Amino acid sequence: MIPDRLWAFYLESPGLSLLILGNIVFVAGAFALAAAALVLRIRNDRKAAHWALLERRWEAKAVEVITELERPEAIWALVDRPDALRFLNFLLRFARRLTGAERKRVDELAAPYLDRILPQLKARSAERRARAIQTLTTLGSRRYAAQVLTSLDDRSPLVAMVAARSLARRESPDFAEPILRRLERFEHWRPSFLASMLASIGPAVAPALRAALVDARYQPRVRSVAADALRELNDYLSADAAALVLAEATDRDLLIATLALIGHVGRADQVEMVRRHTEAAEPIVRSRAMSALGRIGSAADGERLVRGLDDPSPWVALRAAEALHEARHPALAAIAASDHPRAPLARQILAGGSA
Amino acid sequence: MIWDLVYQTTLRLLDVFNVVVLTYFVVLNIGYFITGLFAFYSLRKYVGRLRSLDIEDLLGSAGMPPITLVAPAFNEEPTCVESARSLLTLKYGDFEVLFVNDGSKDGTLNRMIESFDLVPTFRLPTGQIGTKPIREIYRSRSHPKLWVIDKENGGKADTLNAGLNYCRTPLFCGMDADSLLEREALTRIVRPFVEDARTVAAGGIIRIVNGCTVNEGTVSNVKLPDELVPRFQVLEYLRAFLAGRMGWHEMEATLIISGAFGVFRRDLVVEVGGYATDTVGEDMELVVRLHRHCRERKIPYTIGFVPDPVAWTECPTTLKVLGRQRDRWQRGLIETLWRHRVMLFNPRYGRVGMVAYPYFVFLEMLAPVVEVFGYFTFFVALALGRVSPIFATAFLGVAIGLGIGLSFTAVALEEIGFRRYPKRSDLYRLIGLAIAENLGYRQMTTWWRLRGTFNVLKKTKSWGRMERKGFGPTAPPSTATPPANGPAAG
Repeated sequence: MIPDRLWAFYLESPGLSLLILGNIVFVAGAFALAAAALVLRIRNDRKAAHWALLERRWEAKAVEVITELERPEAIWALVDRPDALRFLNFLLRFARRLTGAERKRVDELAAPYLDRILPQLKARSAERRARAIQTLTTLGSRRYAAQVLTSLDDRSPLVAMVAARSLARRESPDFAEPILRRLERFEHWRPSFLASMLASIGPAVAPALRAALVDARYQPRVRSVAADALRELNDYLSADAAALVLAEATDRDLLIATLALIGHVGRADQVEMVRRHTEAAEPIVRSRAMSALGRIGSAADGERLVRGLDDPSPWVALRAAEALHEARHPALAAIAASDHPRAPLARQILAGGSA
Repeated sequence: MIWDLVYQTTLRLLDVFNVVVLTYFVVLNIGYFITGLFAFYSLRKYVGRLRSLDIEDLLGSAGMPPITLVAPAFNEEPTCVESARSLLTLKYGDFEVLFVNDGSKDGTLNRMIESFDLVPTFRLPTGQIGTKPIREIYRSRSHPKLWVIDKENGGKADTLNAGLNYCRTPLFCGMDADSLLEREALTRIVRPFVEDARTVAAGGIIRIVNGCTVNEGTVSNVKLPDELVPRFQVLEYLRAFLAGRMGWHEMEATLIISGAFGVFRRDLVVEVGGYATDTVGEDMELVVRLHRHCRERKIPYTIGFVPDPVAWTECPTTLKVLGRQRDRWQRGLIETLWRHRVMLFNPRYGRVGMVAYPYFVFLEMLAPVVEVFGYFTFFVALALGRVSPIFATAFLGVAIGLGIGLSFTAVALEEIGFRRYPKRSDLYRLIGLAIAENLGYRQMTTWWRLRGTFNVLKKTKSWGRMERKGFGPTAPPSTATPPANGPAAG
């Protein structure tokens, strides 16, 4: 009998037997996986064809509804109950192509289906929760603001970020403060990205950002983000706050962001704060101070900027040359025509070759 | 009498060696299997994440860090213009292209000058990494984002370093001039840097362009190559990237970022001295050095792999060229692992030192040696009648059966994640290739890697010739013959 022989073999070489058995199981599993890949492909192809057909129908009808040739009911009639989430995904993509009144019509089309997404806000998968928030905020106007605000405290930073970005895009000052308060949650996100997110709320966010910039209770990183956002907003009212920070800040990133801010929105009477930092120990701080000086400095700063060309850091020299160019200082042309070691750099900047 | 004793001892050693090899194969495949499991988990998570944060949204957002693409080129006349055009049409907010000509002997520079209206200009270097002399710097009048640095030949690492010296952005992308990046590749690969400011490097996936249709620098129709040698490589790349690197990424122990497409933090790479010019595996060496640097200085960092930003690259079409490539890859691997051997089983380097490094030393570096000698002794033992049919089944099952299983896993991962080969017939072919590659092809690659191992001992530094056909059907064929240390996909 074969089982008896197998058993005898097992008793004789148990290690080898288990290995062969494991191998057989693994290879069988692998073949099953290959079969699954095939089945998956066939199923996905069918599904894709079905969705493509469905979306073509929806798109044709959506265009008619949006151009008011048809009433919304005409497209809703084409959406079967199991296809509701798919329909919302379709509208999400469709909405991106539209603005103004047409865009609002898309929100109207989505309205009857949005409540069905709410259970997904409690899904185990962070990705599903994030997707739900994105859909609700994009298609749901302010109707779901409360749920999205709650998601700012979601245990997953990804979900919290999607919520923050979605709220920021609503361009409402009401959301500025809640986002700013939770900015420390996004400690690993790139500051420039966070600043752009905050700036996307619009000028209404500026007072909260100004307050954060000067508030030493916030981490320097948050204050740097606030400074970057204010710069993106070209908020001239933040010049005094920036000068105040430059007078006392020691954190490198905060100094860099604030120098960039004051370079954009500062006034001539604040230039002394900037001059101090042209002598900073860190090359990156000196380089930012040079840039700021080129923007808000006076003719008297020309000599300082020319000295910057000799800075051992190429970054400082580069920014000093750009600053001279920005200040339309005649020294740059003179250096370009001379045998100064930085003459090629001066010529590059004069020719508009700055990166 | 004495000969009989020697004979008996040899036979016993043969038996022991066969068992050792069998055990090694089992451990090796368990290692691959575990990596595959991590890859599966990671890929599913990533695909879900892609659905929650759509790329269009990111494309439209400000605050994405500026990037410099450093494209080293050596004798790339057939592909350089199309590659540069492809780079210039990338969908990304703020980037510039530094095309670095590594003293090409063909018409690479002239074609670039003619095609992009290049004029000599000055550009201030911001780094001081030692490189071969720069001959001239050009800027395009028709495409202001494009700069061409012409330098004396010094090899790929030297060329990348030259580009790095002129890089002014916080991030740079190291790549091959003959690779085609997908339009959204930069946006996708930069995500780890946006989501986690501790990210110091991220690698994208390399796919094989042979067989695909390329229109104006974009891969428009993805299909498997017609020739068998490139086809096998498609499968190998899927396995290496989707089952391998994805798994290591999940374990936070990525040791390799392909030289054909990786993004790095410029300041940190400059701080560690740029790419090493005395190894043919400069891409892996840099990543390992970054790990070491950050760990030793307790700098918080992450190095990862992103599976959807794609760089398409041309792969060798002949066994001869492929053999040279694999030989070089093995030499690069050994040189890097030997150089940083202090990391092996060193808890100071965390998972990298305790898991990834031993894996690469014992299961990647030594694999060709064990495998080739394993086959040899197995067949000797078989000839001497020392192997039972059961043992032979187990041996071949482990050596071949598990290999097939791992390739199936890679195909399944591709199917779950990306489905880049839309024709169903290509999927059938991939499954067929997963079986066929074990019957000759895999053994050949093992042999080339063994040759690479011996070449390290002989201190061979040659890069080998890489034949390029160009992307378009009308492009003229050419043969790139890098001298001492020329550029090629790593």
